[in-house]
Amino acid sequence: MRQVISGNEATSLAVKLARVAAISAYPITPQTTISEKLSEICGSGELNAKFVKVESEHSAMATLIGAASTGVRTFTATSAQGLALMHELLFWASGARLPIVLVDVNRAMAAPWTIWCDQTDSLAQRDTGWLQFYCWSNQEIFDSIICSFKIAEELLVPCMVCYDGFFSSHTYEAVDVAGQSEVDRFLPPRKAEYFLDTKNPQTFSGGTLPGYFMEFRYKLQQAFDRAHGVIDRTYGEFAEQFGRKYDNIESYFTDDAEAVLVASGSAASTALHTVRKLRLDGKKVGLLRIRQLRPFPEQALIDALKPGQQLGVLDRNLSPGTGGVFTQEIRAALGRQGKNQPVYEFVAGLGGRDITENDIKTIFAMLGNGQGDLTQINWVGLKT
Amino acid sequence: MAVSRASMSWNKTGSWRSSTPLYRDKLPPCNYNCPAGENIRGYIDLVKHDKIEEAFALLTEANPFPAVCGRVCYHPCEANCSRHSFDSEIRVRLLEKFIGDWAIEHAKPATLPELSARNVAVIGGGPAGLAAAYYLRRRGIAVTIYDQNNLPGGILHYGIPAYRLGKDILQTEIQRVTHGCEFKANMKFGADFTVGDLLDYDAVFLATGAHRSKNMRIVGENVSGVESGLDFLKQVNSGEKIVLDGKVIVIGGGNTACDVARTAYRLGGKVTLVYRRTEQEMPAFAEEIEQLKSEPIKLEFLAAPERIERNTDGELRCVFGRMELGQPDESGRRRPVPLDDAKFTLSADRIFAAVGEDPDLSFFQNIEQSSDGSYDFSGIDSRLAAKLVIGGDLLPNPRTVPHAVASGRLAAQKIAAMLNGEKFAPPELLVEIAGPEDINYQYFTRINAVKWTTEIIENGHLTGREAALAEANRCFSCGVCNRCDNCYNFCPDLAVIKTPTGYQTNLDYCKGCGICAAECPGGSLRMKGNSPA
Repeated sequence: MRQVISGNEATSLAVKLARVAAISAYPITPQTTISEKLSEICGSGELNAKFVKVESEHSAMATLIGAASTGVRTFTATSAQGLALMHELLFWASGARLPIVLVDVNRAMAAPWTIWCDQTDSLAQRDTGWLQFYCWSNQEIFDSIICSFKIAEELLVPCMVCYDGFFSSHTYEAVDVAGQSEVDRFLPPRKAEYFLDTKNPQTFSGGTLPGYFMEFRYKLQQAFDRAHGVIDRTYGEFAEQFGRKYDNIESYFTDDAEAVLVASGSAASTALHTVRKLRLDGKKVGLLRIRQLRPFPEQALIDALKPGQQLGVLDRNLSPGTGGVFTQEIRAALGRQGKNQPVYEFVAGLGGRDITENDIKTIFAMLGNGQGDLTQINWVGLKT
Repeated sequence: MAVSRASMSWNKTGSWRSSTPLYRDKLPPCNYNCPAGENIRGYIDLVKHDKIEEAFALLTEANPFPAVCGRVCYHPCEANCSRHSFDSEIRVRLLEKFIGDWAIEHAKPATLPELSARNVAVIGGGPAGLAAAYYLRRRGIAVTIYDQNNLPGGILHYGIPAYRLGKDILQTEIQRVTHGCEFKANMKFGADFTVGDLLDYDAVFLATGAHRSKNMRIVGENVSGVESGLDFLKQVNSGEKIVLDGKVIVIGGGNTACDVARTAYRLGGKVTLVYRRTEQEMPAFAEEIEQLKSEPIKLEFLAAPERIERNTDGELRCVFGRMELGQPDESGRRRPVPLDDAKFTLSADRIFAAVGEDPDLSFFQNIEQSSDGSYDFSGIDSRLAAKLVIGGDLLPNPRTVPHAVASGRLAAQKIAAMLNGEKFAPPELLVEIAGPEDINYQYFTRINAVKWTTEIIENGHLTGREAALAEANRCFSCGVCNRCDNCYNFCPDLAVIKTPTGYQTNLDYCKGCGICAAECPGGSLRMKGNSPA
């Protein structure tokens, strides 16, 4: 049934329909309305789940690590400093191979204090061993959460679904909310092979000597290698049942494009809108929307690019001392594939500043007339 | 996933333990402070679980008068309740009254044990005597109660005014308490029966109370119109029709003085209560003083009567000397000291003296009172002395109903032991008292006490069973395990085992982390020792 709902409501409904058994979360803007709604759903009995109240995000993740270890489906949501506070336990969740699903509503990291959007918070967690998806619409948020449980539980790898604070979390859009039986058909209950059982005490993630630790890491990497196929298959099955198709890299007007911009999150939708307008003016511009950071969709990126295209990356994040994280990831992927493709780096929209149609036009203009600087960050809309 | 394939139960992690959980109850402050020795926490827990009949049974193990004490006890349990400083104390008096009123309506007559050949005379049918009779009869001992009045109850009936303790409720409760006992009315010891009549009993319990008003020891206290306050209460409580339409002076600051003043006001008097110290030093219960102040009774503090006289025109007058507070006396209260030449005179139609009461032991000779207030009965007829146990106001205890009840219960235990040729040893109390430091306040939610009070209390009653259960549910269960399962739920090593009576620790796996003790809401669980136990 189509409903006009916010991104955070889409999350809550998806979690409910996924029949999650344990939820633990600590309020933080702009995530808070997710945990509020979920606590109501749990309190009213609409969802038969344990909602564990905690005093911090660190405890929320610790709670889910315990709950997920018993073999049940678990969920939490957070933002910015809250995600950073979980950092230590994010490694534990992936190392222990617990398929927890986490929504990060992207918010810039303080200081200075801010509640507004950029993607630095989740991108800073790229090395913690979590799958990461970036959404641009409320429908995609809903669909990604349903799929994430299935993917995570097959791979035994935790999964982070990210979307932009306020731009998506608090914006209302029409969302086709699937019925319970439809979701049940797509997403059966979690079946854990290993789980905490009081009648058969086993050691989980116990002390591991140098003789074996590396092998556990190797197996985790293998799971991420396998993830490409599992993600493609799962989203394929999803498309078959629900009629909505998602790719880890989505191409728009790129076939004959001379300049291509890579973007993610809500900024990608502004970019697509601008590309369409520029196309009407006859400009040969295109957009690659990247919706997956881990595992990095290297092959899909290579396949999407044509020789000779001017390539720019829009980063709503900053890793000080190098630059935008997506730029670094893309340059690394191209380099590994032996492609000598120049990549222009554009940093925009930090701390919730709007990325406007004019900003996108400025970027394409710089890509088109060679104004961009390949050796350093091209800041968009910077006050000087 | 890094998981051991085999069971790890061989790994007895208890060997790491450096301290051990110890389940040991402490004495809750309500129980500790109850003069009657009630297991208050215990019956609150039963009310909480809607087990009112069981609560009544537990309460009456210590005090057969819940309906009475729910109304007239001063409830030091409430003043010492750990919840007092948190939001507001548990209304034990209302719960006690609730249980007592439940019993009046619903309790079935008890099945009493068959009578043995033993028999006991109880002299004085007040709270001490009736409690003794109750617990003696429950041990199969035949009891005959002698009382100088027409109805049993003593001070409960003839002293406490009906507006504080309804006569119907009182007599109904007394009927249950004296069930199976013989009551001999209008039998005054020393007049209607004597020592010789008591020698056939195996034991005698003497609890004749303190009914003789103390003298003010001033000139004119025998002038007509000057009377004993306690005698006045007795007349009113006996049903005599008394009209007081003039000025009344009540002298004294104790519970009797308050009752006299309030009763006189109800009978139409314009009442002035005169006390030689200030409100702070009044020996009456705080609740009585509050109620006294809420009525249109004039209070005159720091004034002591010096002489009473009747004018030639018939007017009754009392001259008072003004006082100030000096150094504390042996009771710790500041002593009144006369201010030179500061006098004033009040005229009155009636003057009631209520400056304290003494036992009337004129039925014996050679009774000595020692400095601690106790009486020496060794000089009486030795045949009686050998079987005599005393109680109530004859003991140097505070003169309250719960103290009297406790003395009666202890006397019954003592007499039963005596008749069996055993030595009586009073039961030992747990020495450790649970305090606020034992409570894990995280587990309790503060209530808006004012709002709560108006929701659960109406005209001094709990509004019903739901209200009683809700009030009982606030109890911290200080120091006593109420099987909340927190230790069981929180133990990270699944080392807490439920047993039919509580919990045990599986020492094979308990690492001594102490989470169970930290999460025990009432503090009945603590960690002990530094090495594996």
